[in-house]
Amino acid sequence: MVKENQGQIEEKQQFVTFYLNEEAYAIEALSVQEIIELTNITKVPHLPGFLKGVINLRGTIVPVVDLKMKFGMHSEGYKKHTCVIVTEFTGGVMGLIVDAVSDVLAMSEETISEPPSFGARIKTEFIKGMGRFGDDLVIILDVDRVLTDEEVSVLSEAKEAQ
Amino acid sequence: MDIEKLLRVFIDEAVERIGEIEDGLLEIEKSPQDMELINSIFRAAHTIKGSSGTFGLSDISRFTHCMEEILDLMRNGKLIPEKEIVNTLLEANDILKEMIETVASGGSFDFSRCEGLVSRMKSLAEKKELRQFKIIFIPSADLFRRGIEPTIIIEDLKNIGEIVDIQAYSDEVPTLSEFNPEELYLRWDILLRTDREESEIKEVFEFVEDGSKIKIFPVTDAEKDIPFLGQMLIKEGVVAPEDVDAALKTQKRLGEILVEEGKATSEEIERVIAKQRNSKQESFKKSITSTIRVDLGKLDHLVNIVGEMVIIHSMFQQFINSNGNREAEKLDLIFNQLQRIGKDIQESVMSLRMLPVGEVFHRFTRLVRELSETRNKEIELIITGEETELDKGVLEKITDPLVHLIRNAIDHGIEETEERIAKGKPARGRIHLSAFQLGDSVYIEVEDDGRGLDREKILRKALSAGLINSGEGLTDDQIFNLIFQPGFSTAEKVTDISGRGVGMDVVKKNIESLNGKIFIRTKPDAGTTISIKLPLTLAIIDGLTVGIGEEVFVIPISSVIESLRPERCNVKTLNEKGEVINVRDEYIPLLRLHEILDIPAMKIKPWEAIVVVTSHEDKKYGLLVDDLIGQQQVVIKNLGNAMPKVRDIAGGTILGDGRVALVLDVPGIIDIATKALMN
Repeated sequence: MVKENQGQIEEKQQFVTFYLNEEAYAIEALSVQEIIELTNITKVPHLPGFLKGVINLRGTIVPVVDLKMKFGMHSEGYKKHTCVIVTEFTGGVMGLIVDAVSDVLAMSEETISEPPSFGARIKTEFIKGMGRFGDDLVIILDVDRVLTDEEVSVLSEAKEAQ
Repeated sequence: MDIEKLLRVFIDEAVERIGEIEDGLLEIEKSPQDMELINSIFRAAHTIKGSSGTFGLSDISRFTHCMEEILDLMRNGKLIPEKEIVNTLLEANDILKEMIETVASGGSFDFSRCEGLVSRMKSLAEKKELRQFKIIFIPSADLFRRGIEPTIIIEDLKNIGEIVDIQAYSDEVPTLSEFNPEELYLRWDILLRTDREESEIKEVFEFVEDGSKIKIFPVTDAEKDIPFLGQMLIKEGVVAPEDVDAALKTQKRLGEILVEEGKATSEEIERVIAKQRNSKQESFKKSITSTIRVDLGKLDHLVNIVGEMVIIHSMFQQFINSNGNREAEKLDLIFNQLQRIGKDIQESVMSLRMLPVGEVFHRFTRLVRELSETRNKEIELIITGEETELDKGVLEKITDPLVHLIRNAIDHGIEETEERIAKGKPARGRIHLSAFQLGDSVYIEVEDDGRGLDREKILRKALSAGLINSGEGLTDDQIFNLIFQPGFSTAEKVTDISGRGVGMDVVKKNIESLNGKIFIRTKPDAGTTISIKLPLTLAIIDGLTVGIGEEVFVIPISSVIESLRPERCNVKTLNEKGEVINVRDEYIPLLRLHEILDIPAMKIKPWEAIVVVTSHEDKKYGLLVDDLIGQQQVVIKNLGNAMPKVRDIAGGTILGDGRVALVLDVPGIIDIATKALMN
């Protein structure tokens, strides 16, 4: 570390936190393009359930993923606070449907720890780390991993071959 | 501007120049005398050399320098653009393109690869630097007595170069009574073209130097073998340069002569001269300001914004119509004007994406030239309609299919030279690549004058490949269209040109992905024409909007024949599997779109719903939908890079209410449905 003051400012990263059911998650703010209200989703046939379809984002068509379905979590449909986080990842632009967006947090490296091992039952490759904010714990997601998951690519091959 | 950006500009420019060099070199074979053409090639190479040097790409700069040397010799008429030279330059240009591409991708180019080429270019430049020398040889009269035969000297000269012209003067030969057979009375003027130095020519005359008069001087402007009369007269020593100048001054201009003879007034002449001057200036202006380079991303952005504007317009219109207002009529009037301007803007923005097909077509000159050489066939490529414009996206995607079609024409279409002669056809085969616009479609045709498709051979092949069970009842058209089936290839021997496992089925698929269609016209021994019909632009199509369950889909009008509600008695089931409908005594397979798309429908009974009759590969298919909503122009957008490709969806569009509607890929849907039926 060079100078203590400067170092601290630089090391802090911005995260957007959101909720899936009661659990708090976060993704890097740099990968977030914008956050919009949930609008009409047009279903695209033959896709797995978590790929909900496409939306109109001011003239551009953007595919959306229901993160809860993607993670196999219990879902009770969309509510008033349900919104779409439009993210940019290596494969393009994708909307993530989440229950609510709560905050933008700045966290420093030290408060982020390695993802714990849950054994084989829970997949952890989507998880970049665990962040502490006060007394709360947030799961930091690796957007690229979530969206360029094997399932998606296998699926796209299957559809091409069809 | 940072160095990255500058480098980008350099790469863009270099790529463009390389294209110019290639086009130029291909052209130069046809018109080797075109000095302007050689100049433009030279300038292009020179620009690359200079700018690559500026960027510290000294290897590229050195390489281009070798090319430039050859071009410079050509420019000065010292080197004739023969096939070998043009080939070498084309090869070098390809390598140069690779070098630039490596720079663009940030890699490093292995320059040891082109050492051979560089030395070949150098030897071309050195060896072929031809100059002409005029040799005036007045041998001494005692040459015979010294045992020297002057013709041997001339033979020697032939060994070091080409004797362009030789003139023996016999005016010194005396009358027979005074003639001494041991004396030499002749003298010669020789014009020698050689790559040797003057001193080497002198060496030939070494043994005869004593007593002989030998004058050797280089003749400049070798290409201008026939100089102006004045220059010739001076050279031959007939008149002095001053005399020629004086004589030239007394010559009159064409205009003056005409005026003097009363054929025209001087005012008239002045007017025409002014016009001539003007048109010269005009043509110069044209050549410098007709294009402007724009980043494609910016253009796409503009297209998007305009698309949005169109959507807002229709939203606005809906709003006006639904809110009855006293001022509505006035509002409507103003709005209509706004809409018209909007439409104009949209059209002109779309036209910005249009490029002339010539750019792509001219690349094929090279392909045909190279392939016909390797196949030992003499083939000429004729290009017409190069100014026809196509959307950039379409143009890019059409290139590969065209390469394939042209390869096919060369490999399978055009016969061997002997065969052609035996058939009484011109020995030289002809491929005609043309483009033209008809209605809202652009047609691109590849026509050859070869042997035509062999109906029987195709039938045999299709039977043995299991594509059909019997040839009975098939029309010629249906048989010819079998070549588009996957797994079909009639090439009896696999060559390096075709038979790479990419078949016509891929060509067809590519064309269809562009919403295009492909047709065959063929006649035995007269040739084959493959005709490709493409929409003017990919981005805007006329669509039929239909409802299925909750969803709205768009079916491109180009594939729709009609839509109807069938009578109950006209819907039949076959083997409990497929359904057909009877439309005016024609049985058409019925495809339930909601089943194919796997979504709920509101109307399951065909006689309550609507059947949209579409055609694919000359067969009709009825697509079952709930409702017809309307017909409108839609802007097709892709569903985002992150979206997996779904075979039956061509893209999406945004409706007036802001919702996204999916655009159906009709060939894709029919493919899926017929495959599902077969299984």
